[in-house]
Amino acid sequence: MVKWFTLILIFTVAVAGAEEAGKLPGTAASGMVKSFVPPRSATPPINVNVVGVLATNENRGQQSIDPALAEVKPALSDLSFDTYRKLCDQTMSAPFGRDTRCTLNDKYTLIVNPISKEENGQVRLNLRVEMAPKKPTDKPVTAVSTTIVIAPGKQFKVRGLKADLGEVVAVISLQP
Amino acid sequence: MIDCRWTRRVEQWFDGESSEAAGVEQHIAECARCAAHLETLRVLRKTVAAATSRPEIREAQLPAFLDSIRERLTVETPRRGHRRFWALVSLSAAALVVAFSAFIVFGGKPARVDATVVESCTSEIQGATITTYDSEQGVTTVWITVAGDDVW
Repeated sequence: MVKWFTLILIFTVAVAGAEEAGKLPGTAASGMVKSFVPPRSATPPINVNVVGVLATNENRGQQSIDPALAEVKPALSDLSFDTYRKLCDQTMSAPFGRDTRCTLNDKYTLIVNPISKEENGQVRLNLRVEMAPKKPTDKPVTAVSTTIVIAPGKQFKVRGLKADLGEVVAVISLQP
Repeated sequence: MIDCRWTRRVEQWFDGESSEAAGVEQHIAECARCAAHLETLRVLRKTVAAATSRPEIREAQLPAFLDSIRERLTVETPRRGHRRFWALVSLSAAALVVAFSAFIVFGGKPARVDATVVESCTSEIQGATITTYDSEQGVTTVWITVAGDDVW
């Protein structure tokens, strides 16, 4: 009797552990374990900070960085332009499953669409940069669309968006 | 076989069934073969008696004998040891269940992972090339390049 009780206990723990590790589909054991876990509430919107930068080569003798770009200066350190100007600095609340737009300049618009929040605190989100059409009658063109998983506090950037004498850079980060 | 006509009477005398003991004893004293046969009978009787005798516990040995029995009774049986093993395993399993449940309930969120992962990148611009890299400052970057300026 004691032997069987012990074997059943060990089996239950093993199955629950395996299911928690994602190796098995849902089982009664995992249901029992999850019944102890408080239910999750609806995920609140995340705060996304977007800094638009115009990076250009203007043949200056020395590098010129807009003082307003101090917080994103490390993210720009791998670029080889001599002038960096702030286009925008916007922190916006972005609900999950919905587009939230941020105008970088008159040509490019960044669209943020949070997809999911991971258990480790990271957020999966889709970022799109739309380019204004040359003709008002045409549709905008998606210059780049990317899905990333990023932790709050970390910076991410999109570069290569063509502009006069240089490019537009968007530095994105999630507020902790 | 002993070749003496007194042999039968010697054996009866040895068994205590002789009615002429004096004559038999006198003959044994004079006949070497009957004396030897008598000695053989005595050795045989002693051997048989030793083989069939049961050990007897004398009164002085009784306390030590009983102590020995009590000592053997206190030794654990294998069955009892087996049960103790399973009880220990059962206790360990129960502790494991409690610890696992506590970990699920009170363990909190998994450790934060800071690395940024780029899962996909696409562009509607024809001929665009998208590369991703991590800068020395750990900033993950998506870089779009297009040959020619006309598309912009």
